[in-house]
Amino acid sequence: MGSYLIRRLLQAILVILVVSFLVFVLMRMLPGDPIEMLISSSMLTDYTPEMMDALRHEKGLDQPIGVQYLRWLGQMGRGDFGTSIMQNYNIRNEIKDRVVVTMMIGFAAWLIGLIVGVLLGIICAIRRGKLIDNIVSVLANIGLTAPSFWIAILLVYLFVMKLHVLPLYGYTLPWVDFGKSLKQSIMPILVTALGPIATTTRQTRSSVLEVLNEDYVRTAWSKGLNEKKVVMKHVLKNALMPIVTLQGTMLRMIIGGSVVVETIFVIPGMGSMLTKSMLSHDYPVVQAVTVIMTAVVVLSNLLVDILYAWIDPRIQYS
Amino acid sequence: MKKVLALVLAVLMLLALAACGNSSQPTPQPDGSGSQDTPSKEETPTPAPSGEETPAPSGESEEPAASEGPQYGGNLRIVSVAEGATPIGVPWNVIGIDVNLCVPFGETLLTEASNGNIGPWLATEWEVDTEEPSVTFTLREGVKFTDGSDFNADVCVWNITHFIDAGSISPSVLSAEKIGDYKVKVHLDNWANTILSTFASHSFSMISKEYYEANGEEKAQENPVGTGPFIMKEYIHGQSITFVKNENYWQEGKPYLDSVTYIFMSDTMTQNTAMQLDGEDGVDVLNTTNAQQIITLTASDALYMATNSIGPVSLMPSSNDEGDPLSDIRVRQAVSYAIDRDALIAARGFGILEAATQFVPEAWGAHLDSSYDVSYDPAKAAELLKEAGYENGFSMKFYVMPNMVDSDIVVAIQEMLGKVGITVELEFPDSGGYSNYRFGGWDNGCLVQHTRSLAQIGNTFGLYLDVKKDDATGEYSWTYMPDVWRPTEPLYEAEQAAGRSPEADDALLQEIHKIIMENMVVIPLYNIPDCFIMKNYVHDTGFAEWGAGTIWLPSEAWISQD
Repeated sequence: MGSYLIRRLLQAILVILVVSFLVFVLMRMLPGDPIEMLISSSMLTDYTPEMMDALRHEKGLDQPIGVQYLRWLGQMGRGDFGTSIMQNYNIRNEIKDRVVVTMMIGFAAWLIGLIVGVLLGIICAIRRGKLIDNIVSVLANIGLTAPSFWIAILLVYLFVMKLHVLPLYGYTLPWVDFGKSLKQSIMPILVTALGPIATTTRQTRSSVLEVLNEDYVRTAWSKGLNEKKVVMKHVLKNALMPIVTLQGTMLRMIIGGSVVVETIFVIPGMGSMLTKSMLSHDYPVVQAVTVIMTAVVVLSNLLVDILYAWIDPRIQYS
Repeated sequence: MKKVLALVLAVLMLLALAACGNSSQPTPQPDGSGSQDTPSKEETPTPAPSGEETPAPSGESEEPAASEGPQYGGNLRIVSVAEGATPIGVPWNVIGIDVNLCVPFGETLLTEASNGNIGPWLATEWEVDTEEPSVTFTLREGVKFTDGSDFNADVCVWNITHFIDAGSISPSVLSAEKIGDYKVKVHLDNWANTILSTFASHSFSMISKEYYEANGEEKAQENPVGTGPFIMKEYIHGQSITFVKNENYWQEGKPYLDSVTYIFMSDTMTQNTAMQLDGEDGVDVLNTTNAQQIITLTASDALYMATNSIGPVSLMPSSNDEGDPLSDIRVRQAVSYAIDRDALIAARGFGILEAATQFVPEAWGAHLDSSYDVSYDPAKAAELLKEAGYENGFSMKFYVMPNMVDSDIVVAIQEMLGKVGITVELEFPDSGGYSNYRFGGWDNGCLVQHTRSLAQIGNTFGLYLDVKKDDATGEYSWTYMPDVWRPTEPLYEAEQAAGRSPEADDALLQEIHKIIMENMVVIPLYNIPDCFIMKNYVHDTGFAEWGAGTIWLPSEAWISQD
């Protein structure tokens, strides 16, 4: 197990390095120079080409790409994420605050997705073909196909404009003001959780249905065990593997969804930071945010792999 | 079972339809609901610090009349499209749109109205010497920073020196010298009459020397200390920034507001919803150039708008080969004649946009007489193309600026040009791709670009059509647009003459404009306004009345409390 972990950690580092290199190179391959964009967006009428060159030099953008990458990698290794080209802020300080916000909403959405999704999936499987199964299946399909921004519009219309019960924008951390935080988080979490709920529901339903046909489940029924015991002890545990696997991909979905949700609900998280920095070609910000998001996804996948062994002792890591 | 499913679906569809629809959906108003900018040259006294007279700001608004004078209290919530992450306490480190956030706490030596008129603020007087290029400012006495330190000549020189060292101020500003306790002389490399507007920009707000030196740059960046009517209270990066009233502000009895909050909101749907909400979740001021958004929001009785012309969206032709169709003036004229601007505006103007017949809009003194207007004449376009040897047409490309340009209008222009045989391929690059064309050059085609008309129109010429002269070789070149046909030498001479005159001279500025129009350096399409949409209870902000440097006057703004 120990050697497996070390091997996986090394692989994770390699993946992060490869992603960081690809992002670094691809960003620079996109048409458009951040210094030129800075000048044109700022209407700096007195900026001469010489001043632009000086600014480019100051930001280190005039060096060969390999040198830039190695220098940036060295900085990252020392925990220095650099400074935003477009807005002069310290990226590490900015990320430090924002990552907590994104994680709070993302974790809550994931947890709700898991609990509600598994619960609905089990109910649908057990009540296969019944009214509840049909309703949930339709809703799950809507949850899977409806774009999150559209869901957000519906929620804003209902809860903000008509019922006046939830705030439109902003985010407060729960330990600052729990009540306010709860009200501000409901819509963003709902929008983010809808996809994971739908996916997990469908996956759970299908896994549970598969297990329900197994001989050992039939045996459990024939032994006269009650439904709760059969489902929890015999069905769910054996149906859990694909659901756990799915959770690794769920995190990617949640992080991707944060871009939309944070922009609509004015939440100061990593998603909105990534969107704005990408549009303005703010290289160091995009690189830092991408590396962090990659690290989160890679490590969560590693966690999922480790969970396999805990769920199914037959799985051995060597 | 089926009934239940149908019911669920029906409820969902109803909800969706209700959210998509808008009960107050406006219809385009051909007469233009609300005001359309006219930054007139009229000069009338307006409220100014300590009852002084400043040139009248000129943007128009339909602000509802208030039954009483200014009232105290309230929080003014302004939508900002800035990222909201930049530390704003040290102005020479603040760039781009984030400069707007400096307005509540920072103050400048001068103010600039949207018609370009310069007025006093922290400097009460200024004296220009064009022979030995310099400006001498007399500073206002009795002004204190929010840390209690004095604003005087020492502090002013220290600030200007930092702007010079940081390279953030015009390179023509060489140094600043204290010549009295409240007198500062700024030495210039050469005289340009646009320099005064520099000292009206919040990029050059004065900050406390004492605080900066005692606490260092990092702390000064996070804790802005200016002389302004508000003090920063809370900055939630990426979400909002709140300023509270400066109780010791140098203008007695001001500001009227208790606080000002900027909310960093970039999504249009969220902006529209927030503008239509009352109470805690609403916002009070929104700045937009989106005609559809303007007309949607101003349909509400609870909102009014103030607008300010910011110039046309134009075609900017370029060709690097003398044999290229666009190198021929007749072809560029034909392109202009082939475009029916009135039809474009009727279809997509929403009563907000206007046909642009010249590069400089009517509100500016550099606008030319009607003989320079371009109009729709497809027969003439065909004739000119024939004369130029392109009676069978030719092909070119449009590179369309993102965000500011209406893509439907561009498609309509493509269709109009197609009717005279000009085939246009459209490219809609993102911001990066567009800036690549803008700075790297484009060939055999036109940028479709918003060319912003600044309060000092000389700055607009410099920003988009700057010509340089190499003193060693005597050669002229375009700063960002190398090509073969542009009238570099006459334009350079005209720009120099207009810039060097003691004050902005409309006749000299018109000479530049004539060269642009006679050579079709730019083909104007339609004018767009900068629009500030406000709640009816918001008064005297000055939004749309002041130039891009001054922006608004937070010390004057107030909110009806009833």
